[in-house]
Amino acid sequence: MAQRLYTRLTPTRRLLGGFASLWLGPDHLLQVHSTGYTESYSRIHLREIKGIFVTGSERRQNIGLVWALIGLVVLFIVMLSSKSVLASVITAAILIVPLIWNHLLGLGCRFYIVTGVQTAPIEAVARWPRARKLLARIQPVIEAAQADLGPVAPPPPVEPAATPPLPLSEPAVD
Amino acid sequence: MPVGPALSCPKCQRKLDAISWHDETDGACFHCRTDFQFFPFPALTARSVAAVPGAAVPAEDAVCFFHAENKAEVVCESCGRFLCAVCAIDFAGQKLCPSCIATKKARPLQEDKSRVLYGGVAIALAGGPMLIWPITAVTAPVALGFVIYGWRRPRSLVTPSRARLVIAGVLAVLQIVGWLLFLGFLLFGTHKIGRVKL
Repeated sequence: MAQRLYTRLTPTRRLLGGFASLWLGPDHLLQVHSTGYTESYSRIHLREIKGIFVTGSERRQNIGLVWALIGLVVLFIVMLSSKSVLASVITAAILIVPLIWNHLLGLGCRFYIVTGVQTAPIEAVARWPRARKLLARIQPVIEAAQADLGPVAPPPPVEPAATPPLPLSEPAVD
Repeated sequence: MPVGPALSCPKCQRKLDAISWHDETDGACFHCRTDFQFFPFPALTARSVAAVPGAAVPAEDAVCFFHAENKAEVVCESCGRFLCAVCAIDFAGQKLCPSCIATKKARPLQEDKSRVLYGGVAIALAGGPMLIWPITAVTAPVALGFVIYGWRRPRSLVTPSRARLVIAGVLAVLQIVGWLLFLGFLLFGTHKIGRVKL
């Protein structure tokens, strides 16, 4: 039996024309894009990860809106073609399931891993709850891999400059 | 003016030397106004140390294969050449010389950029055409060919099982056997039935 090098970090997410998933290897993260017939891999070494960006996205609202529109059209057709109230209620009940499911999946987000040479989008993560789970899983692993690089130094907050910088050529005034 | 680490906004790709930080992790890009959370790691602020080669003492030290003036400090784990601190590159857990990395001689299979999933191809060829069964006369042998060819080829890095190949192989063999029985029936079955009738 072949030895498994990788541990799954995210479920496989369906994309247009393929699938994406994220895996943890011995010293790197492996992002897999699959078409079902081929797989392409991108590796991000744990020691090279400088940070992780998570931004919000309109995914939940957009999918909800599309489902609601489809549902309304289907419901309208059912109501026109059938006078039975029961048929309309059953149709509405069936159509509301994906809406509830979409809502339960949580707010949409985009997940990026920053290295010295790229900011790699992680397409396997598109919702906040999953992003939080992934962060909780990989943060200790990355910190352990970078233990010899020193403690985490958060980027210094940038305050708006209160005074203009002094010209260097001018002598200091006592 | 305080300057933060060189980060780029993930959305607009502009340099975030001026981020509006709400707190330690939350911020927003000044340019595109995208709100984000940022989780830093030690590599963000760690400074990389440039390799400094040692000068070789003539007739005493072994010298680097690529730099005759530099003292050899490491041996390439792929080709065995002596390397100085500049030429020894950490690559996939090994110390390698640039030429070995360039020619990919030392690249293990695990470093592949992409792979063909023969199991996926075979199962599509064996399973898909069953809806239009006459074409299975062609696709079943092709699927079996993919199963045989793909059996010893590198499989998926993340799901390396041969389950799909096995399923595709069984389906293809069943279809081939079905076709052979059908052909046998056409060639001999009707003749036999005809004789019985006579």
